Amino acid sequence: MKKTFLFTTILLLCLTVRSQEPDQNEPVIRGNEAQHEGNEQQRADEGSDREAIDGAIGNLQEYMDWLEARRNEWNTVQNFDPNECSPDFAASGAAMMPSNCAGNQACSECYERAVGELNFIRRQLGRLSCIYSNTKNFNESAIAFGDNMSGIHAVTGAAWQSARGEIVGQFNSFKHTYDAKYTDMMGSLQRALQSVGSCEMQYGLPDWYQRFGFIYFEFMKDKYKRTD
Amino acid sequence: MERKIPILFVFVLMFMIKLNVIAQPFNLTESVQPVELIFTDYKKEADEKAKGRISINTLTQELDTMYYFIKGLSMYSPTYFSLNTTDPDANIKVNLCKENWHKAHRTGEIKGKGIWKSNFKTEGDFGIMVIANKKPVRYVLLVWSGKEMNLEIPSVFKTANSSDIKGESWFKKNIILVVGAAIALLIISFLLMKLKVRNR
Repeated sequence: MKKTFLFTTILLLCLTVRSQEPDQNEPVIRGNEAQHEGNEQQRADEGSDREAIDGAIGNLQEYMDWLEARRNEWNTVQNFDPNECSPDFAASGAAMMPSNCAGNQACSECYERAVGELNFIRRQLGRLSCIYSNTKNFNESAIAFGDNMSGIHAVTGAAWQSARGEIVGQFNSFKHTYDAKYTDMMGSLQRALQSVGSCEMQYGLPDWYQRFGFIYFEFMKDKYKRTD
Repeated sequence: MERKIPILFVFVLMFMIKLNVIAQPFNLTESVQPVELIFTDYKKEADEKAKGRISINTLTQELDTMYYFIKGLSMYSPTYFSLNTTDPDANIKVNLCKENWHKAHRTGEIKGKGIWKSNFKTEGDFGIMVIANKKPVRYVLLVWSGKEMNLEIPSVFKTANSSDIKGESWFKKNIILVVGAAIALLIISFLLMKLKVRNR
């Protein structure tokens, strides 16, 4: 009898704990939750909070539906700042590479995999370049802002000079990081082009990398190299 | 290839971590202490389009101005922002900033029960400045960032022609031009020689 009672108690406890686990798909509500506790007025406001959250989620759903119809139209989503960098994937005509595999069913499997990798790296290089350009603009803007404000505000010249030095130092360190990532990505780009080359070799274009891939590689090296 | 891509992801991730040194609009005012909004994973069963990250916050503002920021955004992902309230007396102004809190790239107002929303793409972070003209005010602040969009990257390939396949040299490809130039040169030399002889 005692054992049955103990078993039932443990079972009930387990069920209680399980039912309190949050649903992973439910958005986490953060903020000043502490103010909810022990305050009757706020408890009464919970209904209106729920209404506001439902409203927010409902509007988000409408946006998602709008977006779904434009999944392949990246340019329909506007930049936060019109002057913000957008990656440039254009290549000059001279850097275009002849391919015997493009549109050829026979080597499509090998070729598509290699081109997928190449495009992934092009995408990441575009992003890297934009991160650099945005960070540079952010730093220049911060320095200009600080230089202007330090004359007007209570921020003393000496304090600003120290903060300015920190910004410049951080940007110099960022330049080194860019260079390191640039080198990594150039290695990946070369490997991707060599993969394309090995597909082309099987379908009638021997020495593809040496004859065509290399020119494109040099073009990309030049395009993404930091110049300042 | 399957191995290389995750490695590259790690590189980019490490890179982003380094970048987080400055991750909010720049400011020199010590009283401005922006609050970071945190993303959590968001997905809905049988709704692939909802997949992404969300930060949904129910807040009560008792100060004139509150500053928030959110980071970890990708330029290839859509970002959606909304601020809504059910308070009929609300009078709120919202500024979305990037470089500093003085320069707002997007602004909106809510008077009474309502919502202000905006969508865009950006890299890194952005700041949210909420000015309450009537306090206290309670509102819901939502930021959602979806999965990366399909980006059409122009091809860098052209169909190979017969000379590309055979690997002919420039000389071979331009044989007509070379022969024409040689004939023209011969004719000019012949005429010059004739002219010289005549002058003698």
